[in-house]
Amino acid sequence: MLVSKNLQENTQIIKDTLRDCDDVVYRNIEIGKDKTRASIIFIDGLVDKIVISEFAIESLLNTEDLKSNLGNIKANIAEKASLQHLAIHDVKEEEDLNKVIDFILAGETILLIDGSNKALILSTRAWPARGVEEPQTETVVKGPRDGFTETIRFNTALVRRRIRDPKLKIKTLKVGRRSKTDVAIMYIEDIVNEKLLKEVFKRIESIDIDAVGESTTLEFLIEGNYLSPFPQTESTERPDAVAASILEGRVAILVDNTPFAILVPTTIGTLFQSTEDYYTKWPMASITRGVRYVAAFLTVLSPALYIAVTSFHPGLIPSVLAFYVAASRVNVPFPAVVESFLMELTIELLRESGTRMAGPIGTTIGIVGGIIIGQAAVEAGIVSPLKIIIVAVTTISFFAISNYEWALSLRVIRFIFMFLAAIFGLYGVMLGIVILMTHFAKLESFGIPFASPYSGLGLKDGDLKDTLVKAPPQKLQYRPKFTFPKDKRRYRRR
Amino acid sequence: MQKKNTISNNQIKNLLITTIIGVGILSLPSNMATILDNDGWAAILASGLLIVPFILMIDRLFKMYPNKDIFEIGEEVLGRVLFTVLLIVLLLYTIITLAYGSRIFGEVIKGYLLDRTPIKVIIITMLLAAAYISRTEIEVLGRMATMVYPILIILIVFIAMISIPKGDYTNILPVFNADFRLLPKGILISIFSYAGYEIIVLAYSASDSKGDTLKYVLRGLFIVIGIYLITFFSTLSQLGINQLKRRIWPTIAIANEVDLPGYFIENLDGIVLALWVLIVYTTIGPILYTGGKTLSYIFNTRSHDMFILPLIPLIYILSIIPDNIISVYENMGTILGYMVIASNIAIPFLIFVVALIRKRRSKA
Amino acid sequence: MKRLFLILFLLPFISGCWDKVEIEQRAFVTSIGIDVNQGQEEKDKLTVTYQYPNINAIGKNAGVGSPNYLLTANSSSVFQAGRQFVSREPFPFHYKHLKVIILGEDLLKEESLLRAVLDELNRDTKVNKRVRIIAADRTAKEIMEASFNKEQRTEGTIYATVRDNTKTGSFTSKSLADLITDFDISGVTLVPKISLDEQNNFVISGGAILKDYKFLGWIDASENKIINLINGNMIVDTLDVIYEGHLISFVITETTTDRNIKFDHEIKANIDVLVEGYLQGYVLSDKNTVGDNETVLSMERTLEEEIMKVVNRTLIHLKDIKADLLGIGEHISKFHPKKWEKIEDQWDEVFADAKININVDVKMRRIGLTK
Repeated sequence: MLVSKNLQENTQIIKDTLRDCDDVVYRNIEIGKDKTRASIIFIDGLVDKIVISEFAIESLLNTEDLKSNLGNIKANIAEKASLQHLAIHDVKEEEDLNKVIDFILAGETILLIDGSNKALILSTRAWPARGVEEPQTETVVKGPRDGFTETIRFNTALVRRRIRDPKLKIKTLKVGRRSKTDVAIMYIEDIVNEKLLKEVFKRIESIDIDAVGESTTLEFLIEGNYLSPFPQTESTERPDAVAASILEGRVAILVDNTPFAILVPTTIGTLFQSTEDYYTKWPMASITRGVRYVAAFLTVLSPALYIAVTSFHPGLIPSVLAFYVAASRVNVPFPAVVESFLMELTIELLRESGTRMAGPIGTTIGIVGGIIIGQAAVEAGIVSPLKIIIVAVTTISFFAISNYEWALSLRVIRFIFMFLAAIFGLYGVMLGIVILMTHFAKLESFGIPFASPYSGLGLKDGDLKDTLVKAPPQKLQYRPKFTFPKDKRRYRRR
Repeated sequence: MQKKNTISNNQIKNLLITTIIGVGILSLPSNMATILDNDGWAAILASGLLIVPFILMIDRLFKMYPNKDIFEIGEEVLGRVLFTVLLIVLLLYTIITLAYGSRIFGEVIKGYLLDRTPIKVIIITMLLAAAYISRTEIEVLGRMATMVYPILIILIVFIAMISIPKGDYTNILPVFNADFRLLPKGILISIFSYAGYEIIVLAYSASDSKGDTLKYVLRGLFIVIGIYLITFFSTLSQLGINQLKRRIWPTIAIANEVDLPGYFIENLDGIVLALWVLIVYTTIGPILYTGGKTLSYIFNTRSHDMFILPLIPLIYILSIIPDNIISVYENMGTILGYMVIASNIAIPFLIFVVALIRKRRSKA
Repeated sequence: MKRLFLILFLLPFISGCWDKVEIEQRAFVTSIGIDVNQGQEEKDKLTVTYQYPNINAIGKNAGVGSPNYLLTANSSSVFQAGRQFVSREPFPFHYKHLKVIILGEDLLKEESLLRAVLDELNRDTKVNKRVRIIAADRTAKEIMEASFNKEQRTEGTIYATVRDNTKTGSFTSKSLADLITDFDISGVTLVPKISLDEQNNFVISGGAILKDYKFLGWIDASENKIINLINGNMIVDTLDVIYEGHLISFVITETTTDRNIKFDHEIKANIDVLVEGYLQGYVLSDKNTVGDNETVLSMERTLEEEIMKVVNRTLIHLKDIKADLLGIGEHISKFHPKKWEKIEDQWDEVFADAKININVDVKMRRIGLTK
């Protein structure tokens, strides 16, 4: 529906559509000698009222005349007002009344002038927002401490600050029928692979949903294989991580109302990377990477291996150890399988209750619960001490993995392995591993094989230098291959 | 970005290696030692080198018909009827190989790891797991192979390393003492250890850089030969020639022999076996895949997944037919020994020769 | 389709876990002793003794009770005994941690039984072929009864003592695999001998010579040392010799053997043994010092003489019982295979007639801190 030249009509339509919205403000003014009638409409709480009062209304009220120099060309009133009479930094024109209403709902202020079929959109967005703080989920020792906030424009700004390249492109889409959430897709034009970019756009544009409240909904909707427990997208709160990823040829997706940005594509290689690695010298960083792989292995397989070894194959461990384990399990009423499931369940309960309670209470519950339950269980003779150690190792390994969703999916897999081990012992564990590896081989993230670089893509191009270990930046002259970047070189030795 | 269904040459090489190395590696040293004593390695080397010309033939064949996959080439060269007949022979061979491999796998697992679990369960679970990977495309097989390949290499290096302190290298002597007239017999038996190389015909046309594929495939074959030779020498030096002949699965036996003075490590056969599950899986999976693809061509369907599940009961039944392990090796082993020549050697040869003839004819 | 697949895959899992036995509910057999049950028929021809640890007596919560349990039964074969114990013992036996097998003297003297027992052990999938074989100069049962109650060690004191050769040369540790390999290659093997002393403690020294599964005789510790010396097996051992009226203690650290075989109308085997070591003890006096080369050489010569005495004694003994423990046959089979094929079948006689020349060269490399 188009804006009509009649101010009364326009205002009435807006009032009807935004009926019962008591936070909409309608300010009528008369401009100039001719007393041209105009209406300023905005939503209280979404706007910077000072801008409206001092720069919009004041400059308009101080206008001598709006229409006089125009002659008969009434259509240019809006343009004239915008060009000559409004001291606002950003003014747009809009002819579609529906879009005008969208703008009001987005926090812009509307200026409707009687006799003009163009509405003026004044940029006045301001709302209660959190300041830039240290990201809570990813802290580093030596790096920058600014994290994203819930306002998308601030977030894009934080990334822009780090890449002042004109090739850094930010394209905005609106996703969600009712939420009309701003989604910004960021990439570097001469690095990113076009097919990848096209795929990202295609998937986002094909979403038809009521609301996208935050980034995870979007993540889950654009994943290729939603049945797989493994994440095919990454998210981060850190602008430096986003900047680094874009520079490697990945695409970043920012969503309004959430401080988490989405990074695609994702591979096993990237899931084991953490921002801290890039701020530490390479030997320590490489070791830490290795530790993470070990941690992943442990968190998935420890309970299953415990079951396999104690219940099926005590011949696999050295005699001395086997006898001690047997001795420690004497009089334990449960078989190793039941013990394992019980303890793992308990840890899950503890973890869940710890997340529920924020702050110091949560930590206390974790420690108290863990120690007391563990200790008491061993004293009572219900559980063998070795099992407690295994559970502790598993949980600590879980927290050692840098990417939270990845760690969570591994946690899920752990139970499947325990089940397999309970029936077939070590053979069951191997069956599980084999099927898991096949799943990794099959899984793709936006067309990029998930298991890269270990499954072949990027092996020859040195992707391993930044996945399995962390090579010093002097050695990382080329971008990793897994994103098929167009511009391959990123560092030149002089 | 990668097109769908392309596989890199490196992945082809890894696929070749992991597919070929399967159940055969366990008994190969023993079989060779029985025929040729300390010179069993000669048969291994010879039969490996014998495969080279066939690889070259396959490479030339694909160069003659660029951008066509093996089924299209076969149909064009031999005509649909004859080609289908050959494929049925190949299919039979595939099914028997899978039954043979699954049965031996079951016996080994039952012997070392799961004493009381019924062997049928072990076989079925392995087959079903293999079905998962065989229903995907060639590039997934390539990726899986690339992931398993380093583990295989680590295993082999480990086997080589444990024989360094404990092995008596004089056990390898005497060399060149055997009756070399028995070499053909040795080759006949060991050639089956290279079965599985035919997977490359399915991967060739999907390679992302066809010019270099031959280099990688040959490299893969030589690595396989190397692995077999290392296994042979390691087992020979550790066990001595007589024990080597006596043991059915010497490769696992030597893992047991590790007895470090620090003493903490013992009974490593469990870990070796666990890794061996991976190795067998990467053999059964791709071979099952070839079976499915063959059937897909014969029945002219677009995808091959639907044939995988029906094949499994067939393979399973076949695998439990032999009464005991000796019968498996003797009966099935002998049948396969001959079939491998028919299907892996004769068929590519046939296709190649006919293709050559046609080419010459069309030139003239 | 995927669902069908999933159901099919899950079916085997629901059927049951067949191999699951809790670790504390297993009896880990650590030693087995085998004797002949005199005068019995096939079904009970062996007396088998199992030793397995008492789990309750291990670890932090060690309770009371002897560290090990012992069970004896008469049965037809080694593992058959295990099945017979089932009626007395609640837990299934686990053989993967078997460490030691003691063969009673009477078993050694019955060739066919020995062959049967060894085959059973070799064939079984569970037994680690690195189990040590020990020969007892009485019944195995007596040895085990005397030792199972002793100090707590989880895998058995006997095993710990006999585990490897690095400590002494007075016996040669032999694993099952090595035993069979020895029979294959040279037909003879040497197995450590275990016996009991006056206080009923076990002693391992010397060995039993077995040839083609037949028992040939015992040798004592000094002969054993020599054999180890010649085979280059010795790691560290001491030799005591009287030199100019005083005792020298000489510790052997390394031996290198070089075998040379010449085939004329008879076999001439030349074995050169280089023995290296250091001086452990002499006598503290100003007159007798080791400060000059002459004394060292002279000492070396005395040592050589002493060694040669035992060497000759051993050589005669070996030739007498026709046991080629010196590795000559093995050497020929590897380095002169064509000749070996000719003489292989008469090796016993050939060995007895062969001219074997053993030269021992002792080098005292170090003399310690003082002159």
